[in-house]
Amino acid sequence: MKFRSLLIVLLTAGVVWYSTRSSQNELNRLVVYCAHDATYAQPVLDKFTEQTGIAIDVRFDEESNKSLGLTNLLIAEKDEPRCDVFWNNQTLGTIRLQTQDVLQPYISSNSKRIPKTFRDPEGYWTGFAARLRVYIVNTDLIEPTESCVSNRLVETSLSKVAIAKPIFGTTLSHYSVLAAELGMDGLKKWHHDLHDRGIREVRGNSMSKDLVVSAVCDVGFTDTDDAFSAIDQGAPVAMVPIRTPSGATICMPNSVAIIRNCQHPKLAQQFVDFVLSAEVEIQLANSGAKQIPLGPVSEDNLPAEIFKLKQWANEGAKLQAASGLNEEVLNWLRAEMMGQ
Amino acid sequence: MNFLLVLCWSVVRAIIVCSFATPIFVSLRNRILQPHSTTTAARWLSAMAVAPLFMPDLLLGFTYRLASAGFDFSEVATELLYATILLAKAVAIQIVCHWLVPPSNVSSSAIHLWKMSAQTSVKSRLALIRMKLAGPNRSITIGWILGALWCFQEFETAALLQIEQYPIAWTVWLFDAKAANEPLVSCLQYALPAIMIQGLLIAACAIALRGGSSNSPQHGNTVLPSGKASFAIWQSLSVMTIAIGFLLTIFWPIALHSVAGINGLWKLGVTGTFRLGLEQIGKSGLVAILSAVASWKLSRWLFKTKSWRLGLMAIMPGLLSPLVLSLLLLGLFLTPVVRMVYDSWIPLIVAQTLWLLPRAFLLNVAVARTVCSEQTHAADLLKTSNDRKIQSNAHHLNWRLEQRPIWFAVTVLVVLAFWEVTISSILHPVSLQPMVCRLYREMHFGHTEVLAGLTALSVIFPLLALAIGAQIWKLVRQ
Repeated sequence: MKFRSLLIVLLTAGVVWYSTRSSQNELNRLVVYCAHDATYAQPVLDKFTEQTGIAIDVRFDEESNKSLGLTNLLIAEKDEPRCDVFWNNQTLGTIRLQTQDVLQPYISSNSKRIPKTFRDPEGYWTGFAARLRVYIVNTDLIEPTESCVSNRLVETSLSKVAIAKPIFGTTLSHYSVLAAELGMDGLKKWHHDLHDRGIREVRGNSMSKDLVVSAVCDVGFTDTDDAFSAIDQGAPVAMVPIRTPSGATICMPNSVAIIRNCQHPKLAQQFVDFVLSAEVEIQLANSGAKQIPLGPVSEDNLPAEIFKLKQWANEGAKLQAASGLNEEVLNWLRAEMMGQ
Repeated sequence: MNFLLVLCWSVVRAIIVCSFATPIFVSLRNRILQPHSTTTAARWLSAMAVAPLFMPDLLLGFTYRLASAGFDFSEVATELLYATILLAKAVAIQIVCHWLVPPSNVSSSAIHLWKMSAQTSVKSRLALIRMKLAGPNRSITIGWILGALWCFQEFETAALLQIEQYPIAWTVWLFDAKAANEPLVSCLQYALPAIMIQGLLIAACAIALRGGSSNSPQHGNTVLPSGKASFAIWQSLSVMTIAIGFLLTIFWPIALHSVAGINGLWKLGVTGTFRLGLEQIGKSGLVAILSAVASWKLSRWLFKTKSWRLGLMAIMPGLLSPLVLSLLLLGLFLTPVVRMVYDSWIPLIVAQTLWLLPRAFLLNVAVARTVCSEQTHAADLLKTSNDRKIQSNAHHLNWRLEQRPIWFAVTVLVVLAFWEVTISSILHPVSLQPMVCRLYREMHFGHTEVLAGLTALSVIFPLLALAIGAQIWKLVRQ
């Protein structure tokens, strides 16, 4: 009995010791919170480690913890952050962190290659490698042109059109962009109109894509990376850009930012420089997500599909105005969801 | 949809599902569903009926996430599909309870006599309720209650199946409310009625469990449908339901993903990530084992103290949804006093331990009632024999009578902890990514092969490790 108790105590002590060896205390180890899909982000992180010898501990944003999200986690950890760099897969959440005083400004030498629209003038965050909001269209059911999709969306029934719940991710950003353009009342009217006509609200962009791939729906609201994953698997689908009433597309760059009072500021700067390089933008353009480079890159290194996307991205709506409305939109959606 | 309506919906579904599961089980239990069934057909049916408990919810949800979307009335189809999956699990729970829970020592004549005494005081009425709960049908009562608890607490399958708000589940509603920035205090307030419902169910279960011992003679007889023909029809329907449940929860997911799973395992081997996968499973398994053992020991201690107030306080956090519990602990571990262990395994282990505690408590009660003190005492006496063969047999007997039920209970806790998603995804340190979170990610990207391969490994590897562990333990104890 004594031996067993001793064994349990020793085992527990061993585990506690092992697990509390915090990466924060290691000099050559960086902690990155990454909201970009792990499948596409991990090779970039590995390349950084390969080139610099700096090891990275990464925490990815998971579907399973959407209720918390990395942005909220960073706000909660604000007083004593464990994260050094935040790689967000969009911009609005990062701007929210800036307003909450979570970020540390840093103007990377590589940030100059990114157009001014996609970076903060004081260097709190910088955008890179973007994706677009698109309609994914089942080509067996509908012609993948902007006019056909527009006609489909004005029909009386939208029971074969899917959209993700707007309380998460890029659909929330989409709503915020519309709120900036239409005003809150205009957004509410648009939302209720879609629901009155029976649009199918599903849990995420990937499910919206899956419904179109399986021909349950003929059109779905999603992002370019989800659409490309279906196209690469040989599904009979194509994408058409989503446009706001003014005709602008919705282009959402990744963004990178250093956390205020982080443990490894020098390593963090090295990482930001690396991520904003042309090399990483090319790597992400060639990944399964096929993200659109925002800075100048050699076109020889880009896949053919990117050229069309670059053109659409140039017509993107300004996101700064939308960022101010993000919270208001979410509060309204919460009230709707909770039946208030 | 407001929370009260969602909560009522979840309660009604749990009641309906378990009330369907009970007659299915009752019609088959005396002839077929026995732990040591004699005929091959009966053995197969028993295995088929219990098998749904071993299929991870994650894989079930992934398999059927689009299944109901194509129907015209997809809301009804989704609810029906979800209820059928829950029904398969509820029947399995009933059967396991029947096998594990010893018969009652409260006979139906005792209840009848109590009624005849016609006392009308509140105390006497409460005693009658207690007697009825612990009466001849207590294994059915316990099975019903545990099934209802399972249905009521279910989250993952509901979340993955959900299309246009259906199936309606309070756990998913709360998750979405938090995602939409609802303050934690408000989420806690919403969760309170759900905690009360679960508390009531657990209290009823504990009362029912107290009313028997493994020395009791036999299970009572439930009133079965009268008339041979109707009973035969009822039995056929029950066998059919079990077959459908098996097809839905075991056969189809395996058939759909087995090729992908083998390819996935092959890919993991070729790309050299097989070892990494095993390492990830190993670490997640270790966390699950530590949490399971901690909750088991803690519940055992609580059980021995016999203080119901302390017991209630200890099990309360585990009845919050995993989401609310994780967020509360996240806040706690960010306070300066315990901030130093924030980025370690400790918050995860603490949260899982608390979440497991009500389950461990019930398992403790069940094990205590299963272990027959006279038999174990006899086995202990045999250990003192000078004959080595008798000693060895005594150790083996002791293992079967006392140690094996404990291993079984702890294994159940380990499996529950290993597959719990919400706590793991919120409280894991940056240096440890739990396997279940990775599986979610692979599912999100539609990497079916890797998902199926890793799921197979995650099911086989921990069970294999626990089986080997049990054998080593057995040898050490001898």
